[in-house]
Amino acid sequence: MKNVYVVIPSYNEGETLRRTVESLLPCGYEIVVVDDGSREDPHGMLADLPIHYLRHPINLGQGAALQTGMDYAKAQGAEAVIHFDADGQHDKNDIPQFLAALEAGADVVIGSRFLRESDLAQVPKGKRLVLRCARIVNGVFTGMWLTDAHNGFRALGRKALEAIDLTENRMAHATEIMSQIRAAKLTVKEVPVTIRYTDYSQAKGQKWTNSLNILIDLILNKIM
Amino acid sequence: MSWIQVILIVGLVLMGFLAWLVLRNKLFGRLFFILQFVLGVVFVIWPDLSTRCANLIGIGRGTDFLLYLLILFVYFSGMCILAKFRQIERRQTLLIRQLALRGAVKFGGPKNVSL
Repeated sequence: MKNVYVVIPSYNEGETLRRTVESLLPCGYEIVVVDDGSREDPHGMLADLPIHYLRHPINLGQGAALQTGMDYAKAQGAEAVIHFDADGQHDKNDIPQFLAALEAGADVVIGSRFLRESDLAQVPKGKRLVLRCARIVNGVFTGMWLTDAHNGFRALGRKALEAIDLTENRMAHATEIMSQIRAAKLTVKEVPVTIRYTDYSQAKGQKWTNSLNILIDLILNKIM
Repeated sequence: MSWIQVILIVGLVLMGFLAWLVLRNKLFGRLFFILQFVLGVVFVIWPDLSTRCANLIGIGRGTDFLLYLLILFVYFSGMCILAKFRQIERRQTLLIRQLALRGAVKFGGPKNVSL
Protein backbone atom coordinates (compact mmCIF):
# COMPACT_ATOMS: atom_id res chain seq x y z
CA MET A 1 0.00 0.00 0.00
CA LYS A 2 1.37 3.40 -0.97
CA ASN A 3 0.85 6.80 0.61
CA VAL A 4 0.49 5.55 4.15
CA TYR A 5 0.47 8.38 6.67
CA VAL A 6 1.17 7.67 10.32
CA VAL A 7 -0.43 10.40 12.43
CA ILE A 8 1.13 10.91 15.84
CA PRO A 9 -0.67 13.33 18.15
CA SER A 10 1.68 14.61 20.79
CA TYR A 11 1.38 16.69 23.92
CA ASN A 12 4.40 17.34 26.13
CA GLU A 13 6.06 14.09 25.08
CA GLY A 14 9.60 15.42 24.60
CA GLU A 15 12.29 12.78 24.10
CA THR A 16 9.76 9.95 23.98
CA LEU A 17 8.18 11.45 20.88
CA ARG A 18 11.55 11.57 19.17
CA ARG A 19 12.23 7.93 20.03
CA THR A 20 8.82 6.89 18.70
CA VAL A 21 9.36 8.79 15.45
CA GLU A 22 12.88 7.40 15.04
CA SER A 23 11.65 3.86 15.49
CA LEU A 24 9.02 4.40 12.76
CA LEU A 25 11.30 6.01 10.18
CA PRO A 26 12.84 2.77 8.76
CA CYS A 27 9.31 1.54 7.90
CA GLY A 28 9.09 4.07 5.08
CA TYR A 29 5.70 5.59 5.94
CA GLU A 30 4.98 9.29 5.82
CA ILE A 31 5.03 10.50 9.41
CA VAL A 32 2.83 13.36 10.57
CA VAL A 33 3.48 14.73 14.04
CA VAL A 34 0.71 16.95 15.35
CA ASP A 35 1.94 18.82 18.37
CA ASP A 36 -1.10 19.72 20.43
CA GLY A 37 0.21 22.94 21.94
CA SER A 38 2.95 21.45 24.11
CA ARG A 39 4.56 23.79 26.62
CA GLU A 40 7.84 23.46 24.77
CA ASP A 41 7.54 23.44 21.00
CA PRO A 42 9.20 20.16 19.89
CA HIS A 43 9.91 21.74 16.46
CA GLY A 44 13.66 22.02 17.00
CA MET A 45 13.89 18.58 18.53
CA LEU A 46 12.48 16.97 15.38
CA ALA A 47 13.72 19.31 12.64
CA ASP A 48 16.43 16.90 11.44
CA LEU A 49 13.96 14.06 10.84
CA PRO A 50 12.09 13.63 7.52
CA ILE A 51 8.58 14.15 8.86
CA HIS A 52 5.56 16.39 8.44
CA TYR A 53 5.13 18.70 11.39
CA LEU A 54 2.00 20.56 12.47
CA ARG A 55 1.35 22.45 15.65
CA HIS A 56 -1.79 23.63 17.40
CA PRO A 57 -0.98 27.02 18.96
CA ILE A 58 -3.01 25.97 22.01
CA ASN A 59 -3.88 22.61 23.51
CA LEU A 60 -7.17 21.16 22.25
CA GLY A 61 -7.01 17.46 23.04
CA GLN A 62 -6.12 14.20 21.35
CA GLY A 63 -9.26 13.96 19.24
CA ALA A 64 -8.65 17.41 17.76
CA ALA A 65 -5.00 16.61 17.05
CA LEU A 66 -5.95 13.39 15.26
CA GLN A 67 -8.47 15.21 13.11
CA THR A 68 -5.91 17.87 12.19
CA GLY A 69 -3.49 15.12 11.20
CA MET A 70 -6.16 13.35 9.16
CA ASP A 71 -7.16 16.58 7.38
CA TYR A 72 -3.52 17.11 6.49
CA ALA A 73 -2.99 13.54 5.29
CA LYS A 74 -6.19 13.74 3.25
CA ALA A 75 -4.99 16.90 1.52
CA GLN A 76 -1.68 15.20 0.79
CA GLY A 77 -3.48 12.37 -0.96
CA ALA A 78 -3.10 9.69 1.70
CA GLU A 79 -4.58 6.29 0.89
CA ALA A 80 -4.38 5.18 4.48
CA VAL A 81 -3.88 6.83 7.85
CA ILE A 82 -2.57 5.07 10.94
CA HIS A 83 -3.29 6.52 14.39
CA PHE A 84 -0.19 5.97 16.46
CA ASP A 85 0.54 6.98 20.04
CA ALA A 86 3.55 9.16 20.77
CA ASP A 87 4.28 7.56 24.12
CA GLY A 88 5.73 4.32 22.74
CA GLN A 89 2.76 2.11 23.65
CA HIS A 90 2.20 0.95 20.09
CA ASP A 91 4.39 -1.48 18.20
CA LYS A 92 5.39 -0.49 14.67
CA ASN A 93 5.55 -4.18 13.74
CA ASP A 94 1.76 -4.32 14.07
CA ILE A 95 1.25 -1.78 11.27
CA PRO A 96 1.58 -4.24 8.33
CA GLN A 97 -1.38 -6.29 9.55
CA PHE A 98 -3.49 -3.12 9.72
CA LEU A 99 -2.58 -2.32 6.13
CA ALA A 100 -3.21 -5.91 5.06
CA ALA A 101 -6.70 -5.72 6.54
CA LEU A 102 -7.34 -2.45 4.65
CA GLU A 103 -6.16 -4.08 1.44
CA ALA A 104 -8.45 -7.00 2.13
CA GLY A 105 -11.38 -4.59 1.97
CA ALA A 106 -11.89 -3.11 5.44
CA ASP A 107 -12.50 0.65 5.64
CA VAL A 108 -11.36 0.89 9.24
CA VAL A 109 -9.06 -1.41 11.18
CA ILE A 110 -8.98 -1.17 14.96
CA GLY A 111 -6.44 -2.73 17.29
CA SER A 112 -7.66 -4.90 20.13
CA ARG A 113 -6.01 -6.04 23.33
CA PHE A 114 -8.72 -8.62 23.87
CA LEU A 115 -8.18 -10.96 20.94
CA ARG A 116 -5.10 -12.76 22.28
CA GLU A 117 -4.55 -14.00 25.82
CA SER A 118 -0.94 -12.82 25.75
CA ASP A 119 -1.98 -9.21 24.91
CA LEU A 120 -4.65 -9.20 27.57
CA ALA A 121 -2.14 -10.34 30.16
CA GLN A 122 -0.20 -7.09 29.55
CA VAL A 123 -3.18 -4.93 30.51
CA PRO A 124 -3.16 -3.92 34.18
CA LYS A 125 -6.10 -5.42 36.10
CA GLY A 126 -7.83 -2.16 36.99
CA LYS A 127 -7.56 -1.02 33.40
CA ARG A 128 -9.19 -4.24 32.19
CA LEU A 129 -12.25 -3.56 34.32
CA VAL A 130 -12.54 0.04 33.06
CA LEU A 131 -12.20 -1.17 29.47
CA ARG A 132 -14.92 -3.77 29.94
CA CYS A 133 -17.29 -1.05 31.25
CA ALA A 134 -16.25 1.29 28.44
CA ARG A 135 -17.07 -1.45 25.95
CA ILE A 136 -20.65 -1.48 27.22
CA VAL A 137 -20.94 2.32 27.11
CA ASN A 138 -19.57 2.28 23.57
CA GLY A 139 -21.97 -0.42 22.54
CA VAL A 140 -24.96 1.45 23.93
CA PHE A 141 -23.96 4.81 22.42
CA THR A 142 -22.77 3.60 19.04
CA GLY A 143 -24.40 0.23 18.46
CA MET A 144 -20.98 -1.22 17.72
CA TRP A 145 -19.78 -4.01 19.97
CA LEU A 146 -16.05 -4.29 19.56
CA THR A 147 -13.85 -6.37 21.83
CA ASP A 148 -11.71 -3.38 22.83
CA ALA A 149 -13.42 -0.10 23.60
CA HIS A 150 -10.69 2.48 23.66
CA ASN A 151 -7.84 1.37 21.50
CA GLY A 152 -6.01 4.29 19.93
CA PHE A 153 -4.22 2.10 17.40
CA ARG A 154 -6.30 2.34 14.22
CA ALA A 155 -6.03 2.43 10.46
CA LEU A 156 -8.40 4.28 8.16
CA GLY A 157 -8.67 3.85 4.43
CA ARG A 158 -9.51 6.65 2.02
CA LYS A 159 -13.26 6.09 2.25
CA ALA A 160 -13.11 6.32 6.04
CA LEU A 161 -10.96 9.46 5.84
CA GLU A 162 -13.67 11.14 3.81
CA ALA A 163 -16.39 10.06 6.21
CA ILE A 164 -14.82 10.68 9.62
CA ASP A 165 -14.85 14.15 11.12
CA LEU A 166 -14.10 14.17 14.84
CA THR A 167 -15.69 16.97 16.83
CA GLU A 168 -14.93 15.54 20.26
CA ASN A 169 -11.66 17.23 21.02
CA ARG A 170 -10.80 15.14 24.04
CA MET A 171 -10.87 11.42 24.72
CA ALA A 172 -14.54 10.90 23.83
CA HIS A 173 -13.39 10.90 20.20
CA ALA A 174 -12.74 7.17 20.56
CA THR A 175 -16.46 6.57 20.95
CA GLU A 176 -17.42 9.27 18.47
CA ILE A 177 -15.34 7.60 15.78
CA MET A 178 -17.40 4.42 16.30
CA SER A 179 -20.67 6.33 15.84
CA GLN A 180 -19.40 7.85 12.63
CA ILE A 181 -18.13 4.52 11.34
CA ARG A 182 -21.58 3.09 11.90
CA ALA A 183 -23.39 6.09 10.41
CA ALA A 184 -21.26 5.91 7.27
CA LYS A 185 -21.71 2.11 7.13
CA LEU A 186 -17.96 1.52 6.98
CA THR A 187 -16.64 -2.01 7.31
CA VAL A 188 -14.55 -2.60 10.41
CA LYS A 189 -12.01 -5.24 11.23
CA GLU A 190 -10.26 -5.80 14.51
CA VAL A 191 -6.67 -7.00 14.66
CA PRO A 192 -4.77 -8.13 17.74
CA VAL A 193 -2.17 -5.67 19.01
CA THR A 194 0.29 -5.68 21.84
CA ILE A 195 0.28 -2.54 23.97
CA ARG A 196 3.43 -1.89 25.94
CA TYR A 197 2.56 -0.44 29.30
CA THR A 198 5.65 1.36 30.52
CA ASP A 199 5.78 3.44 33.68
CA TYR A 200 5.96 6.47 31.42
CA SER A 201 2.88 5.62 29.38
CA GLN A 202 1.03 4.66 32.55
CA ALA A 203 1.79 8.02 34.10
CA LYS A 204 0.84 9.86 30.92
CA GLY A 205 -2.21 7.70 30.35
CA GLN A 206 -5.69 8.31 31.55
CA LYS A 207 -6.85 7.92 35.10
CA TRP A 208 -9.93 5.77 35.43
CA THR A 209 -11.88 8.77 36.78
CA ASN A 210 -11.48 10.36 33.37
CA SER A 211 -13.80 7.73 31.96
CA LEU A 212 -16.60 9.55 33.78
CA ASN A 213 -15.61 12.71 31.93
CA ILE A 214 -15.75 10.83 28.67
CA LEU A 215 -19.24 9.60 29.49
CA ILE A 216 -20.45 13.13 30.26
CA ASP A 217 -18.85 14.45 27.05
CA LEU A 218 -20.73 11.80 25.12
CA ILE A 219 -24.09 12.66 26.67
CA LEU A 220 -23.53 16.39 26.06
CA ASN A 221 -22.62 15.70 22.46
CA LYS A 222 -25.87 13.81 22.00
CA ILE A 223 -28.06 16.65 23.29
CA MET A 224 -26.34 19.81 22.10
CA MET B 1 -44.36 10.67 43.52
CA SER B 2 -46.68 13.63 43.82
CA TRP B 3 -47.81 15.39 40.71
CA ILE B 4 -45.84 18.54 41.47
CA GLN B 5 -42.69 16.42 41.35
CA VAL B 6 -43.74 15.06 37.99
CA ILE B 7 -44.32 18.59 36.73
CA LEU B 8 -40.91 19.74 37.94
CA ILE B 9 -39.10 16.82 36.36
CA VAL B 10 -40.97 17.25 33.09
CA GLY B 11 -40.07 20.95 33.33
CA LEU B 12 -36.39 20.15 33.77
CA VAL B 13 -36.41 17.92 30.73
CA LEU B 14 -38.22 20.61 28.77
CA MET B 15 -35.65 23.18 29.84
CA GLY B 16 -32.89 20.97 28.46
CA PHE B 17 -34.77 20.77 25.20
CA LEU B 18 -35.31 24.53 25.18
CA ALA B 19 -31.62 25.14 25.71
CA TRP B 20 -30.97 23.07 22.64
CA LEU B 21 -33.59 25.02 20.71
CA VAL B 22 -32.17 28.38 21.69
CA LEU B 23 -28.97 27.67 19.78
CA ARG B 24 -30.95 27.17 16.61
CA ASN B 25 -33.62 29.77 17.14
CA LYS B 26 -32.32 32.97 18.64
CA LEU B 27 -35.69 34.73 18.80
CA PHE B 28 -37.09 32.01 20.99
CA GLY B 29 -34.26 32.39 23.47
CA ARG B 30 -34.68 36.13 23.58
CA LEU B 31 -38.40 35.90 24.19
CA PHE B 32 -37.68 33.44 26.98
CA PHE B 33 -35.34 35.82 28.72
CA ILE B 34 -37.81 38.68 28.29
CA LEU B 35 -40.51 36.48 29.84
CA GLN B 36 -38.17 35.76 32.73
CA PHE B 37 -37.76 39.50 33.30
CA VAL B 38 -41.47 40.25 33.06
CA LEU B 39 -42.34 37.44 35.48
CA GLY B 40 -39.76 38.75 37.93
CA VAL B 41 -41.27 42.22 37.81
CA VAL B 42 -44.84 40.91 38.13
CA PHE B 43 -44.02 38.86 41.23
CA VAL B 44 -42.24 41.79 42.82
CA ILE B 45 -45.13 44.17 42.21
CA TRP B 46 -47.80 41.71 43.35
CA PRO B 47 -46.15 39.58 46.07
CA ASP B 48 -49.44 37.82 46.87
CA LEU B 49 -49.64 36.58 43.31
CA SER B 50 -47.00 33.93 43.92
CA THR B 51 -48.98 32.47 46.83
CA ARG B 52 -52.15 32.42 44.76
CA CYS B 53 -50.33 30.71 41.89
CA ALA B 54 -48.80 28.27 44.36
CA ASN B 55 -52.19 27.39 45.83
CA LEU B 56 -53.58 26.88 42.35
CA ILE B 57 -51.17 24.03 41.68
CA GLY B 58 -51.19 22.60 45.19
CA ILE B 59 -48.10 24.17 46.71
CA GLY B 60 -48.63 25.81 50.11
CA ARG B 61 -46.33 28.79 49.99
CA GLY B 62 -45.56 31.34 47.30
CA THR B 63 -41.86 31.27 48.20
CA ASP B 64 -41.71 27.57 47.39
CA PHE B 65 -43.42 28.24 44.07
CA LEU B 66 -40.83 30.88 43.22
CA LEU B 67 -38.02 28.60 44.36
CA TYR B 68 -39.17 25.88 41.97
CA LEU B 69 -39.39 28.36 39.12
CA LEU B 70 -35.94 29.62 40.02
CA ILE B 71 -34.48 26.13 39.82
CA LEU B 72 -35.89 25.76 36.33
CA PHE B 73 -34.60 29.13 35.20
CA VAL B 74 -31.13 28.65 36.66
CA TYR B 75 -30.90 25.24 35.06
CA PHE B 76 -32.03 26.64 31.76
CA SER B 77 -29.58 29.51 31.86
CA GLY B 78 -26.78 27.12 32.75
CA MET B 79 -27.63 24.92 29.80
CA CYS B 80 -27.66 27.92 27.47
CA ILE B 81 -24.22 28.98 28.60
CA LEU B 82 -22.87 25.45 28.31
CA ALA B 83 -24.29 25.10 24.82
CA LYS B 84 -22.72 28.40 23.85
CA PHE B 85 -19.36 27.32 25.29
CA ARG B 86 -19.42 24.15 23.27
CA GLN B 87 -20.29 26.07 20.14
CA ILE B 88 -17.41 28.48 20.72
CA GLU B 89 -15.06 25.59 21.45
CA ARG B 90 -16.02 23.95 18.17
CA ARG B 91 -15.33 27.14 16.25
CA GLN B 92 -12.07 27.66 18.07
CA THR B 93 -11.04 24.13 17.10
CA LEU B 94 -11.69 24.83 13.43
CA LEU B 95 -9.70 28.03 13.66
CA ILE B 96 -6.74 26.39 15.39
CA ARG B 97 -6.85 23.53 12.88
CA GLN B 98 -6.66 25.95 9.96
CA LEU B 99 -3.68 27.66 11.60
CA ALA B 100 -1.96 24.32 12.11
CA LEU B 101 -2.63 23.21 8.53
CA ARG B 102 -1.34 26.46 7.09
CA GLY B 103 1.78 26.28 9.18
CA ALA B 104 2.47 22.66 8.27
CA VAL B 105 6.13 22.05 7.55
CA LYS B 106 7.81 19.13 5.89
CA PHE B 107 11.22 18.69 7.44
CA GLY B 108 13.99 17.50 5.17
CA GLY B 109 12.01 18.65 2.13
CA PRO B 110 10.48 21.81 0.67
CA LYS B 111 9.70 24.28 3.44
CA ASN B 112 6.13 25.12 4.28
CA VAL B 113 4.00 22.74 2.32
CA SER B 114 0.95 24.93 2.49
CA LEU B 115 -2.50 23.76 1.60
